[in-house]
Amino acid sequence: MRKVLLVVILGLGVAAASSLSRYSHPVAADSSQTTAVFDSDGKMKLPVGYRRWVFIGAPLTPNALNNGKANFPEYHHVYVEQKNLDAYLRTGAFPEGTVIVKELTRVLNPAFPDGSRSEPSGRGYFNGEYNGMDVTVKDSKRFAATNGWGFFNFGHHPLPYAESAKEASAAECAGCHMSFVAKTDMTWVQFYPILRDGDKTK
Amino acid sequence: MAYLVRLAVGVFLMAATAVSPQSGDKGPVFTNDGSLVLPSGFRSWVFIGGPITPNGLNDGDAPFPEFHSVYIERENLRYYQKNGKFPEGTVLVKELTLAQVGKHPDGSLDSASGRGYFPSTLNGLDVMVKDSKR
Repeated sequence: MRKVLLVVILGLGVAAASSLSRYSHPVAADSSQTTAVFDSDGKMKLPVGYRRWVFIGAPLTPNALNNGKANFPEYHHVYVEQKNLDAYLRTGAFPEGTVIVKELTRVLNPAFPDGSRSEPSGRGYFNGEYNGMDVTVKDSKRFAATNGWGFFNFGHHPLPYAESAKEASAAECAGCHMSFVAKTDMTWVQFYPILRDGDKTK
Repeated sequence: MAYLVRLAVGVFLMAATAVSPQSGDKGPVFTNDGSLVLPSGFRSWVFIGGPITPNGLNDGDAPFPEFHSVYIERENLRYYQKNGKFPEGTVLVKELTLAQVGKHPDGSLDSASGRGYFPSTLNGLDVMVKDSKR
């Protein structure tokens, strides 16, 4: 009886391992699918479901440190789908169809001239209200003129964001990415430890 | 028999943890001596915010000199939004990320996107577990 149970137990372990491992290794075909949706005018529809994606980092450029008017006010919360992150960590490039979402939040009630405030955990910056969204889409054919990525601004203001956005001009977005981060797939990997160093929490 | 059942559960958890931490735990896991096992799979949880308390604004010695990126499981977030409190078994993960050190006295950095604070390297984990009896 005990022997049989032990065999069952070990079998259970192997089954658990093999069934769960399927989820941790996305099927290759998945990574070529895109979640970007465009209307007949070529406008991109506001991405949905991104709060279920993987958060990869949050640079912060407070208005108070940028002459009262930061280009991206103020936190930049960046999300990418798990399958595309996995592909990037495996290959060093994002697959076609990758969508990267940058959602902005303001800082919470500034109390000092630099925009910071004091809380029990110390003086610093804390998240205030949501304040807009910028999105990039990788499509080497569609966006060949801007190094394979298209850029879309759904507004820099509180919710609700724009329902759709036309492609931003190269001068607005792509130009800076092409100047500074063309060699890292147009992405500022130096500010995103998971992209830069890999995810060792796995 | 009871021992074998416990063993079965243990083997299952070990296999699941060793092979697929991305799949997400349901609730906290404690060892026999009461230590909390490092939560796994939290990158697929919901990110709910990232305060930062840099050293440069805390006399060079901030209690948490990093970004505090906080994650919660979706079902627990939904419960909170509905009820104004977290359900039993809720785990909150706070992952710390150092900020890149800039040239300004407050530690901020000049970047193409502006002056501010930018993540450097992952630097630790604090975890909270809700269990009213324990």
